This record gives sequence, structure tokens and C-alpha cells, in this order.
Amino acid sequence: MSNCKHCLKLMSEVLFGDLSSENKAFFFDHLNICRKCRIEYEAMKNTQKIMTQHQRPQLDNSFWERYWDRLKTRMENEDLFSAEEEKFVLRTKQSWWILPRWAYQSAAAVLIMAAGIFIGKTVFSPRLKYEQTAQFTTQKEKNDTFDEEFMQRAKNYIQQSKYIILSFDNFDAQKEDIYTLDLVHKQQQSRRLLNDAYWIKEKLSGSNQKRLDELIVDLEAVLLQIANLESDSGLSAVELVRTGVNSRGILLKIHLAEYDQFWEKISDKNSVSMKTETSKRF
Amino acid sequence: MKENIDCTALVEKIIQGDIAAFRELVEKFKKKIFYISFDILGDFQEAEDISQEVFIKIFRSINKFKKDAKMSTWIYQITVNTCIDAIRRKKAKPTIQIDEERPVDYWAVDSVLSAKISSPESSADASLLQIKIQEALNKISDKERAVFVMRHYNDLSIKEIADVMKISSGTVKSFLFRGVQKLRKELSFYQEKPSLEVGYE
Repeated sequence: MSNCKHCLKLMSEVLFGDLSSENKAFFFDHLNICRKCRIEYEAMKNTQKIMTQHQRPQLDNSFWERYWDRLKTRMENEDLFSAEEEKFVLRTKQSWWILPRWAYQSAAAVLIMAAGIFIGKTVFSPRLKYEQTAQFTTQKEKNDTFDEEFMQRAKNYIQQSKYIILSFDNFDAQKEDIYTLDLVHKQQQSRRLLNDAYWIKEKLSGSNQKRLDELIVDLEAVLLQIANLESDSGLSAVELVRTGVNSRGILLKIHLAEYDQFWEKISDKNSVSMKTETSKRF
Repeated sequence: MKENIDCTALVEKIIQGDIAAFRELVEKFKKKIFYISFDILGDFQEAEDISQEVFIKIFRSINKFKKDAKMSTWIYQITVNTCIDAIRRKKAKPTIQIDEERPVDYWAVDSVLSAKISSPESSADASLLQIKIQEALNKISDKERAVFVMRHYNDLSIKEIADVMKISSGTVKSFLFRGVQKLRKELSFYQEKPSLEVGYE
């Protein structure tokens, strides 16, 4: 058995390399007495013989003559060759930016670490967060209090949006006809209110009134939905709007806005108490 | 030595942007690169694409070529690596190829291959054998395949293959041996019966 192992080791050299005369003699003597190794050797040689019957495509001269043109076209497409100037576009001399791969990998690793440290400090550090929010409070005081015009328009927007939404929410398909919903009129109102939403959001931009901002945006989404309904939508339109309203909890938000002294808190007249409220929060 | 001197001058000209010098390089190596690619990948169109890709890579990295190295070894390295990448890409994302309209030149390939096969009697058998050979090659690993085709179809010595693949000569022989063992299993249908005696070679 050990002779077979040794023979198998030598077989690789016989087939692909050189053997000393001593090893050669051992190898072929062993094959003469060992059927298994002989079959293996024969099979390997037969396989090589079969594989040499691999054929390459017969290509005529025109293929090779046009090879350069095809390559040039491809290089032009890849912006490596300028046909107008008859020269290469890529300046191979300017190789200072060509660095080994490990350099790019190291740079990427350093950047990722630096980004991670920066994010950790700015987002998750409690001390920094306090300082930032305190600074924010000082800087954003003006934006957290609003004038009479804003208050009026915002309240109006929310109220009218509420009426439109409630008309969809309360619609009973079994008792009422879809035409009583007056979809066209609702769409006109929605479009008008969308303009108000844009103005209100502009005013809210940069302020700390997240709850109000969220409500404005949620209402805007539903109004947009209504405004874009097809004129012959029917009951599916009602369901669509209801789903939008329910998924955002809009009616609850409107309720909270109306009964939480919310408007008093953000009006100009209460700017002093607002500052106190803000400090307390932080 | 002479090859090195010639290539150094050529490389310098290419780095300067000399198109004639690059064309000279292409003309010198296009057949070698094309056929190695074809032998490894088994597809004419792929071989064309890969050979062009190889020349583009050569162009992009010509300034990295070490003047004391052998140009052919460097080019074969790029060729083999590009082919192996193509094999791995295909394995990762197998695609069904749609037979698109091919350029006129490519019809040269569809001419009947000259048969040098002793056992199969009909051209259908000859075509089938070619398919079987390529299928068998596709079954062995990419490195075994590359080593096999360089040795058997491109007449590179063990030492040259070792330089191209950046492995030892012993490893080259191992790849060859293992590759042929696997090919043997795939081509068992075509195996001849073993003779009773084996003589010295």
C-alpha cells in the first residue's frame, strides 16, 4: 500500500515534470505489478489526450485586422482615447494619485472611525446635548413664539382640515349617497389649504414646535391625497382618506392641539413663560 | 533580455501617450491574450470582451510595470486574473444569455471547426466532444482551469506558469494533477480501456 502512495506522488512528476532515473524505474516497475495504479495512470493520460482535442475558433484575418479598431472604439467609449486628438486621454504620467489598495483601505478605516467619534459626541453625549439645547433655546427663542397672523392662519388651517377629514370619516355609505360628500368642493378646499400649509411650515422652520409641525405635515399629506383623487373615485376614495387619517392618528393630534393650551403657549404674549417652559424642559 | 530591452522602450513610449507604441503592444499580444481567454472561458464573445478589458487594464496600469520584469509574464498575470474574475462574477450572478445579433466579423467563428478527433465519427460527435471538454473544464476550480489551459493549450512551462500565478512549481503541478483527476471523472464516457502493460516513457 505504501508503494501505491509513493507511486501516486510520483505520478504528478511523471505527467507534468521530471523524474530521476531511479524514481522512474520504481514508478514503472510498480505499474507493471499494480493494476490499480496502472489504471489510474492510464486514465490520467487518456484524459490529457482527450483534452488536447480542445479546439479553438477558426478566425479569418479580417477579425484580427479589425481588432485594433474595435479596441480603440471601446477605449473611446470609456474616455480613454480621443479620436479628435488621436491620443490617449488618460495621462498615465500623472500617477501620484495611484496608491496601493491598502492605502485607500486605511484611509477609509480612519474616516469611518472619525465619523463614528464625531457622531457619538454630537448625538449621544449628554453634556453636549444639554449645551446644544440650551444654546438652541437662546438662539431660537424668536422662532418659538409666533405673531397673531400665524396663530390665526394655523388655527384656521387645522380647523378647516378637521372639517374636511371628519366629513370623510363620518360618511356612512349605507345611508348616504357619495354625491353628498361633494368631492369636487372638498378638493378645491384642500388645494387652498395646501397653500396655507406651505406658508405655516415656512414660519415653523427652525422652531422647536415639533408637535405642531408634525400635525401640519400629517394634515398636508391627507389634503394632498384628497386633492389628487380622481373625480370618479367613489367609495374607494373615502376608504383611502380614512386609512390615511387613522394611520397618522390625526384626529387625536387635532384634539390635543385644541385642548392643551397649546396656542397660548406659543403666542407672542406669552414669550416669557415660554422661555421658562423651555428651560424647564431641558 | 532582449525582450526586456524592447519592452522597456515600448512602455516608456506608451506612458508618454504614444498611440503607435500601444498599438504595437496590442498587435504583439492580442492573439495570445484572446486565446488564453477563450481557453479559460470557452466562449468566443467573452474572450473578445475579456481580451479588450485586459488591454485597457494594461493601459491604465502601464506605469506600474516594473522594468526588470518580463512583459509577457505581467500581461499573462493580468489576463488570468481578469478571466478568473469573470468566472467568479458569472458564478455569483448566473445569467441566461440571450442570443443577440452579432457583428458580421463574428460569423467567422461559426465555420465548421477542423476535426482532429480520432474516435468520434461524425461532426455531431465532434461538436459534442467540444461541449463536453468545455463543460469538464467549467467543473474544475478557476485556478486549476487557468493552470491547465496555460500548460496544455498555451505551452507555458511549469516555471512560467508559477511566475504568472505567483505560486511555486510544486503547487502548479498539484493544480495540474488535481485538475486532470477531476477532468477524468467528467470525461469517463470517452475513456479508453487501460492496456495490460505499461512501458517506460
